[in-house]
Amino acid sequence: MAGCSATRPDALDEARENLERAQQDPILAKNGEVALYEARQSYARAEHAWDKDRDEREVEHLAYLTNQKIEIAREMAKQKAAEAETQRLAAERERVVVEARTREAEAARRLAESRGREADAARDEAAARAREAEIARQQSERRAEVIEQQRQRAQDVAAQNKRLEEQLADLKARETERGLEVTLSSVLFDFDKASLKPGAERSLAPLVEFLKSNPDRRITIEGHTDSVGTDAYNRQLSQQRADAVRDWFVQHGINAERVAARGMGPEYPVASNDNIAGRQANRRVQIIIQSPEQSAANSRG
Amino acid sequence: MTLTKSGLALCLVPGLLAACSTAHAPREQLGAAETAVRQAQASQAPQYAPAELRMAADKLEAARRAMREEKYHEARRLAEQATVDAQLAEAKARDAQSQQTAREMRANIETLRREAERNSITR
Repeated sequence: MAGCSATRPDALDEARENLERAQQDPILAKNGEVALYEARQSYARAEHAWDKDRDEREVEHLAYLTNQKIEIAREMAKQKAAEAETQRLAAERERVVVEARTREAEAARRLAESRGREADAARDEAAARAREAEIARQQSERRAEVIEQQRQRAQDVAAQNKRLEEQLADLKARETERGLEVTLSSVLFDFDKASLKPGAERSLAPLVEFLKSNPDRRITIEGHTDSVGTDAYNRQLSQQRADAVRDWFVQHGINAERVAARGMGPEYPVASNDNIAGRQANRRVQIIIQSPEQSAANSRG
Repeated sequence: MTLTKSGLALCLVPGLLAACSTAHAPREQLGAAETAVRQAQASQAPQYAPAELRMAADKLEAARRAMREEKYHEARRLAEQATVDAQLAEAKARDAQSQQTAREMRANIETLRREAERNSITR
């Protein structure tokens, strides 16, 4: 008969150990207080059932209740721990959400900022290009002006040169080291006279035009004779003829300073004085158109 | 106390069950067990602690049977056990639920973190 055994049931000791373990657990002690209290009550009744009544069946039943109540205490402790964890996690989630939103806002701000900067940079670049284009345009305008001026000047110079050439061609001028030489034959003068014939104008008019067109030029008028007669007489005649030509130029508006007159006599013949043709050739007036440099040098003298 | 002791000893002798009428019909304990089991069935216990709940219900049924058979000590014990079993089933269910909530919260945080990380990379 089991009920009459005297040995303490194992169930009772096991229940006591279980209870001691549970009470030593700090988490259980904190979160399963009520359930543990109930477990202790059941255990006390179990002890009583053994000590007083030796009621093994009751002891086993009460030991079972004790263990179940300890289990309830453990479950409640786990549940409370999970609830505390959930609260902590809720706070963390809140933090994560706020952080994410902050980061999103920050990223959106940076994006807007960089787009703004891009827009500014594009605008600055466009303005810079516009300025560059304007500068380039102005430069090319100036260059065109300069080129036009140069062209105009070249044209003027060319035109001037052409006129000069034409004039000189008209004058039948010959280049020598003294300048351009125009030879007028002695038919300008009557025989042994120093006064110009009326036809002389035709020969001299181009020279006047030339001098008027080229105010920087001076001329030297040289009278030459053949060898007939005395040197002195011929020099005098040739001087008088040169002077006559000079007076004609002055009368026609040319400044006297620009016109020099010299009588050279027979000393510079251009042909032989032994024949009529040669003597005629030697009886001449030569007009030397000085180059601009020579004119300048002579004006200084 | 000795009376009780001998009374109990007598109860263990087959045929002398009638003498155990010193044990009252455990109506209070049975009522408590009914309540506890009903409460557990209405809770999340069927989902999270079905075995424990089954055990409680079975013991309650056995307690009722024992009552009908006037085995009052047995009925009381079964009723008391059904009560704690039902309470344990409920406690397990509540614990499992709160563990689930905590798990879901952790998973949610993880998802939010990954999303935030994805967004910050693409930006």
